[in-house]
Amino acid sequence: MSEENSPNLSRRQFISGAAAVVASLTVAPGVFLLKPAGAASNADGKRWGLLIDTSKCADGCTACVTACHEENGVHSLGRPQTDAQWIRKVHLTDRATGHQQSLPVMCQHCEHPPCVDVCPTKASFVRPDGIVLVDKHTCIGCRYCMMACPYKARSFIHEPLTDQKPHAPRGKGTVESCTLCVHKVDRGDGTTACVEACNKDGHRAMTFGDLNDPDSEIARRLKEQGSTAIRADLRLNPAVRYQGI
Amino acid sequence: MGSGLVRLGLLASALLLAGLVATLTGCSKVEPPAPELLAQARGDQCVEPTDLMRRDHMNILMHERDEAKRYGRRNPDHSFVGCIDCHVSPTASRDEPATHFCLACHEFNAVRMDCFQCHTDRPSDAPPRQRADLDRSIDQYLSTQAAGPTPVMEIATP
Repeated sequence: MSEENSPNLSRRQFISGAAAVVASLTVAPGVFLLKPAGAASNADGKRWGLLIDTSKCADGCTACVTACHEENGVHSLGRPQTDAQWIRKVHLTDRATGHQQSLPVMCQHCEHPPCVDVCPTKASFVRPDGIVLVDKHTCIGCRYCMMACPYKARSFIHEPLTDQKPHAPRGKGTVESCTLCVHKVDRGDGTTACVEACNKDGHRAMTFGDLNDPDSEIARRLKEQGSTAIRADLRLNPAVRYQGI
Repeated sequence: MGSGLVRLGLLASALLLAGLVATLTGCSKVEPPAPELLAQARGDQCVEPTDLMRRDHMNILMHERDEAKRYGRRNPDHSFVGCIDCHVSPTASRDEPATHFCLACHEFNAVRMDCFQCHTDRPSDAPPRQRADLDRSIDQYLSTQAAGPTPVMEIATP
């Protein structure tokens, strides 16, 4: 429940911060001794994220789940234990007061994702714009990432599939999870299937946007209203933030 | 001594040649892809010259896939989905390689690619297949995995 907007300096951040200080030592105008760490890797400085207002998320509504699975061609094979799940509704009950909440949970697109740390083939990776993906060309299906993920966000494909969506290749023996609708992001839609569905149903509980753009709605709301990261204690700095939990 | 070695060498060569001939005659003739089964490309012209695509399409796809996947730098001219949309018939199937633009040639050249285990094998505008067919194919697969007759076998027969 702690605020995670500006976490304390980690060792990693301290070191990269130290590098940035060195970079400020200019040899001549426009000539730097070192470039600030991360400046080259972060394409256009974007970081896509989601803000979910749980007070507006209706109990029993699964519009986001249906829309996500429809958009990405994820469907049940009639075997719930092994069916892929990119997004799911979670119900919380406060045992002390009986207060109940319902919220969607998907890949949290961490800044420091454990799935990427453990992947033996570097198939799990973070895109420069902060989206965490699986490169299925190199995924060997070992499922370490599924064990490492504290959000239980990933699924393994156990069976051969047909009729995948052209923009969402999926296949047996690989791990997959929410892609933050990367095909829509790259197309410039500026939204995701789950957010569209939530807005269409009039709940407006989800907001998609660039966390690094101070003028975006999501960044403004995060600044003004604050937010919660699930398992903030792990200091993964997820790009999916919640309000009201 | 020298002539003995030469004779031995000749005998070995003759045996090798005979073996080769026997192997080749054992092979059935490979038919090239029948063009009438394949849909004509739907665009005006390909994104690159035909001879370049014949030689280097795999390199283009391989090199640019990492750019697209890892950095989101997608080149619409060299997209895998673009190839499928333009070249593959909406009625083609990976189960019938003769009808499929990519697979017909790969089959002829004995190149086995696994692109279509994950990527869709049909253009974006193709009508979806019946879900019942899909479920049946999965159940058929499972039935081959299962040991002995199981209830899955009954489901598999239409």
